[in-house]
Amino acid sequence: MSLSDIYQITKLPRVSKDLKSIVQITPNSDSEYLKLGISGSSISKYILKPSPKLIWSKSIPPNYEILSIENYIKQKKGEEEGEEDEEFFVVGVYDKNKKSNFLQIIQVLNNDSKLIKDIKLESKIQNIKIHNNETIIVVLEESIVSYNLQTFEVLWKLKNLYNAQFSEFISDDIFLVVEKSLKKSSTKLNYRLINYSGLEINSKINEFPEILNFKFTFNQGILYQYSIDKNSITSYQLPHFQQIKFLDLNQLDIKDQIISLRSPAIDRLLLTTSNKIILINLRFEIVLDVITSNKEIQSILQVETPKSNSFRDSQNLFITIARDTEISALTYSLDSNTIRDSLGKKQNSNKKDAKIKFFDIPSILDIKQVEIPIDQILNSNLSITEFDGNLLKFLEAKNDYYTDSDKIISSKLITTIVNFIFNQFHEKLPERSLTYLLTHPLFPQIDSLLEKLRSKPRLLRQAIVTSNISLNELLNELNTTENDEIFKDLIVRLLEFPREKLNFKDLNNLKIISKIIELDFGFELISILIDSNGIFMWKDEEFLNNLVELVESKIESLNSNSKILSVLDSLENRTNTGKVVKKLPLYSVEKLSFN
Amino acid sequence: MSTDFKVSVVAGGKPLSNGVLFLKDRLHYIIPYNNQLKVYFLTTRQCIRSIKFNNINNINLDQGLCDIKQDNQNSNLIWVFTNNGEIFIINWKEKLINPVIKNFKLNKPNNDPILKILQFNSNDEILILSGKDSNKPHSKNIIKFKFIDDDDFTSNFEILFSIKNVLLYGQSNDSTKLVLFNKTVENGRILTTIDLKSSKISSIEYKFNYKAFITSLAISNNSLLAIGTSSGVIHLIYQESSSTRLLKWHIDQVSSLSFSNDSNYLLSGGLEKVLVFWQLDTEKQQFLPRLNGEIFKISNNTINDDLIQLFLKLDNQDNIEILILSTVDLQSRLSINGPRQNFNSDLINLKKIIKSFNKIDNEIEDINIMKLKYDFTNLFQIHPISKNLYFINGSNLQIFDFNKNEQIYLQKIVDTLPIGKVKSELKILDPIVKNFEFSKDGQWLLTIEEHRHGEIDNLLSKNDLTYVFKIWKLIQLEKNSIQWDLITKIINPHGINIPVTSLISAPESYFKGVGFLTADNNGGVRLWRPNNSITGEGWSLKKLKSSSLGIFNNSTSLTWSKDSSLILLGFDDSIISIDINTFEEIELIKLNKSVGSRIRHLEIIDNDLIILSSTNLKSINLITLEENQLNLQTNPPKNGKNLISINGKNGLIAYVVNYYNINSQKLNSKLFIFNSKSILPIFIQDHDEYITSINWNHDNDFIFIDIKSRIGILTNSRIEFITEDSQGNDSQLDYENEMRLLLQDAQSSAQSIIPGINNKNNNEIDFNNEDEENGFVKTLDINSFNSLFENINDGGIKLETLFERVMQVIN
Repeated sequence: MSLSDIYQITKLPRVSKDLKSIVQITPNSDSEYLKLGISGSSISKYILKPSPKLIWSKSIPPNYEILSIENYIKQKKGEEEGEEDEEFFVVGVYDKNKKSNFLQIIQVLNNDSKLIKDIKLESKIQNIKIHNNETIIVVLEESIVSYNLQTFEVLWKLKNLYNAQFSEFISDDIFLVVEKSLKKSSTKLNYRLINYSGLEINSKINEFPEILNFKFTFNQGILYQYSIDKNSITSYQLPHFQQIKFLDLNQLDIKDQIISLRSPAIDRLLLTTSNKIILINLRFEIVLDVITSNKEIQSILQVETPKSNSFRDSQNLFITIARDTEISALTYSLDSNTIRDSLGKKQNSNKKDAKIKFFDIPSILDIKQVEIPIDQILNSNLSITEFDGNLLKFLEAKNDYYTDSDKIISSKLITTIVNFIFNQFHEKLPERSLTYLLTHPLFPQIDSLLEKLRSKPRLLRQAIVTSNISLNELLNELNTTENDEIFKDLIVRLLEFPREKLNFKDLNNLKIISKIIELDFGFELISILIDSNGIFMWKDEEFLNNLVELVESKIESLNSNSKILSVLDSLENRTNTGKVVKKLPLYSVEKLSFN
Repeated sequence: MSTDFKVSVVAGGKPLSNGVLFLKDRLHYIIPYNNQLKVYFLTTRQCIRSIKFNNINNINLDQGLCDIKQDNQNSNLIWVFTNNGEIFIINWKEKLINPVIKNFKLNKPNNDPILKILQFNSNDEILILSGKDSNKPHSKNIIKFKFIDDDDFTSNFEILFSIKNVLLYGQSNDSTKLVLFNKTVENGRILTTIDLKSSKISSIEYKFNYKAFITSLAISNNSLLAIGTSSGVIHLIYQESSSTRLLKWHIDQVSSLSFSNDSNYLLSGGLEKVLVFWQLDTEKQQFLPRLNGEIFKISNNTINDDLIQLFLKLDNQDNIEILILSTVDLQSRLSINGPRQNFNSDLINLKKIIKSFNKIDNEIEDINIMKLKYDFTNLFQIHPISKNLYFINGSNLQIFDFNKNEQIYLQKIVDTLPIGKVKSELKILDPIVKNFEFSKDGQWLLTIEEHRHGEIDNLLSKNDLTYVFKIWKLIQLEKNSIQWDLITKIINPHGINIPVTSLISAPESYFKGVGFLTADNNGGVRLWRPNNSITGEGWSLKKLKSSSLGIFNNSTSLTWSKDSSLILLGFDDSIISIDINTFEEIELIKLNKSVGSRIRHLEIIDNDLIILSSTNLKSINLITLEENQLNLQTNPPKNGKNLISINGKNGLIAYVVNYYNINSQKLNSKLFIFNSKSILPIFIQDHDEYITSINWNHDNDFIFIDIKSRIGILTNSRIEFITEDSQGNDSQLDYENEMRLLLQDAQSSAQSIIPGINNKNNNEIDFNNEDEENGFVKTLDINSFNSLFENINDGGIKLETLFERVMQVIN
């Protein structure tokens, strides 16, 4: 789920900037060949591997704007040697000077080209599609026309209800056309599914009460519709065009206008603004990655889509874009589209709102919303005692520490309270409140909590003993503390963590061990301490010897103890003559300690 | 509040041990339940009619049912006597809106409940036995009621006989003789026989000089007495000769005794779960062993000599089975069961709760009426395919059909002794089924058994604890007949002496839901799957997260996201996230410490995590890790997971709160429906009893069961919309499918224009042919215009658009 940096594939010839669509790409371009139509300049074919190279090109007049381009290759049936496949371009052109639209079929020849046919059209071309190498289907703004690829006679023609905005083949035989009405007060969209032979399969009209402009993309049965005016995306499930998702992009902090969008896989969308490429997950409403371009992005030309839907292998995929005067590319990989990958990935956008209302948590038998007068409780004008009193009364604290019968509050509220305390009372912390809060199970994890409490040793110890504190901070404290009591507290607390999580790397283990021996406390940690960076890393041989001696004497005393115990046991057995069966414990625990 | 939901309590109920009536037509049995009367047709063994107690007929047996008798004149009528003297005359045969013909109360001399209807031989005279129903000696009265007015059934009474310090009583099958056992300090233990045949009542006294406790009593039609004792010996007393015979077979107390109608046989039953037939002349015995429970009552059928009714006590939770046997072939003719709930706490504690609440002076102290000391919840599951209800009671798996309201199958799933345990054998602890779960495809069942070795013989293994997984496969025998076959048994699945505390099944996206996930009390999580995913044979451990917390807690819960990528383990008050691929913990401190109290149940709905903890019901958005609006205070019991259920289709949450009602001094409950985000419930409904469990029926409804074993259904009448998360592979299939259908549609309608349009090679179609187009006929049906009105409310669709839509449809 990342986007790589953008790199340039090839430079484009300079063309006048006022052309609406500069570059069009054929749908059959892939990571090997790039087949482009560049308005006012040329139709070109690039080979991309091993390095991008122009292999064929035909120049076109500067007043020709290429609206759509298709490419097809006719395979020769004959088995004669040397006969090569024939390649053709079908180009939809708008002549700016003559204000006319036409379709050109151009054959690719070695270092040359041949205009096969020039068909005049009634309206602007929206899209061209070659079906089965037999027919050309041309979606015009006002109609859809199908031509025989051999004879170029019209096979069928369908009038559009409105003006075609978007079209795409959604399967081999069926294509989708979205038409938009040009009425003044409202916008209507007509979605149609049409079969290659001109049959209308399904259609639906949607009406919006205001004038809106849209961009569309389609993938795997879903049509994604971006509303430029509302900065939102709606997705529709085909074939019945049911709305399945609505997402306001402002919510994701995407404020710039989207100039093109593509869907590489289900629920995922690639959006481009004039200088950014954004990969989002529509289902979880999260931004997966953003990359900024230093040059102006014109459009996404082509997006390589993953071959399988399996999320287990994340593959690097290819995106081609047109930016400024070059063709560029980048790679991307997808997320697994699972909740596991999206956990906690969304930042709450209303965080910046200064005023958040807090409500009491009502009883389920009496659901009502009672606002908490947060301003009165978190009032910086109060003295510390007043603050303590107010807060503890509000929290219904019966003791100095949290119990189950105290007021139940949300973790959001407690976070707000704790943040307020640390922001307002830098030096003079309200001890009573903090003592209580540090015992609260919902106390949030705060960066360098111990550092903040340094001035109050009582709170410091309280934090070590009960609060929700990160392991790293505890280990750090263990490394640095000079206070024996705090050291003991730390050891007790550390033992509450699962052993495998304790990581004593990068700590001054020698010092900690000597402290453990000195205090005769926390021997449970010694083995982990020794294992953490290996006994061979220790330079102080004398210390090592001491340690070995200590441990050996301890083991010896344990051994002798157990021998004495077994002797006593056998004596006891003999005197009891076996009548009373003494219950043996399954196991016994003896703690290692130095006397 | 939405009115899309409806609650109706329609099924279940417990059979009652009094009032089983065989009608004089010799074909029908009337079986009373605590919520209905059921009429069974003996030949087909089917329930042909059930009279449910409701607001229309106002029948209420909460005070206790005394007996049911058939009317002496009209065979369609039955008289239902309650303990407090209320009588319902009910027409059982005809389908009436209100089958209650008459409802009146006997004018009793005192408040003593009626214990037995001694004689009901004509419609204007009733002879009853009344007195306190208790284990201690009390006075008993025989009272005759005479109706003086046939229309309003006013009656006067006459106390015929009164006897003090009565402990037990028995009546002969022909109801002419009664025996009472009383105990006084001065006279010792005395048996009094009363002849009720004639209006003049005579009594004979007999002194019982043995030491053993008397546990049961019977008298034959010819005045032979049988006395069962706690030592298992039955004393037969011939009153004329005052001679005694001892019948010895039982080794623990004799719980029930009954003579045959001809007085040639005595039937006895006790803890052994064996019915014993004593041929009194020859003293030959015959046995019917391995019944389902202790025989606490035997009654002979007075109309048909060949039938007897056995009342079996199944457990300590008031669950009984009524077995109607033929004495000819010893085959069962009818077996009557209710849903066999296994409450987490004994029902005796119900009174304790109410007492403890009554003690609190609610004006001084703040009482939390939701915090109940005992947990009466019960685990039941609904099979995903058949929608049958599954209960586990003792060693049996009971399959209960909600629609038929009958037990359809009972299977023994735990190895226990089939004989009843007596004396020191009672110390042997049977394995307990702690939990069970179906796989999502309904083909697999995992049961978790706990074996405790117990105190017997004071062995070293006393404290040993063994857990056993049994994995069962569903076998479809014939139509409507199923059986679960044991495929794999795993002993100590999480290690020796480690209890398994949670169990869930895999979501459908994970190997089609064939898999189970379990957690132990040490934070270990294990995933079980079959070795061969096609045949499903041989289940074994596939993945594990080791139990290494070093902290032990029995309060664990598991949930698995629908896309199967994430497992959440609730352990005490923290939430541990586990990645399904690595099966390792994901460090997520914000989620880990977001609950604040002990977690009872976790559930993932779309992107939200629903947490039921000992103090809250709350919801957390997993994408932002922020709390949703839904956050309420509640105090579910220890097994609070039984009181929450999620509709897997639309993500609605059903949650039950049981509470103490200060006004009525009873335990009541409320049913809530929430969605995962909003604090306001979609629906609330009160229920007059403690609800023990609620479950989603894998359709649109929730099914719940209350402490009286009544089963209710919470239906959602709203049409379901396609939810966002129902996408995925399924929708991909749907999409292709629908597309194909539409294409066929279009092609077939096009064929009526131009034949041969399907022919791919024939592309030369002239669409401008006006004549052809006029001949075009499109079939419209009720669904054609469905899409017309879509989002009609959103933005105010103009008439013109509507017209265009219509044109599209018909064109």
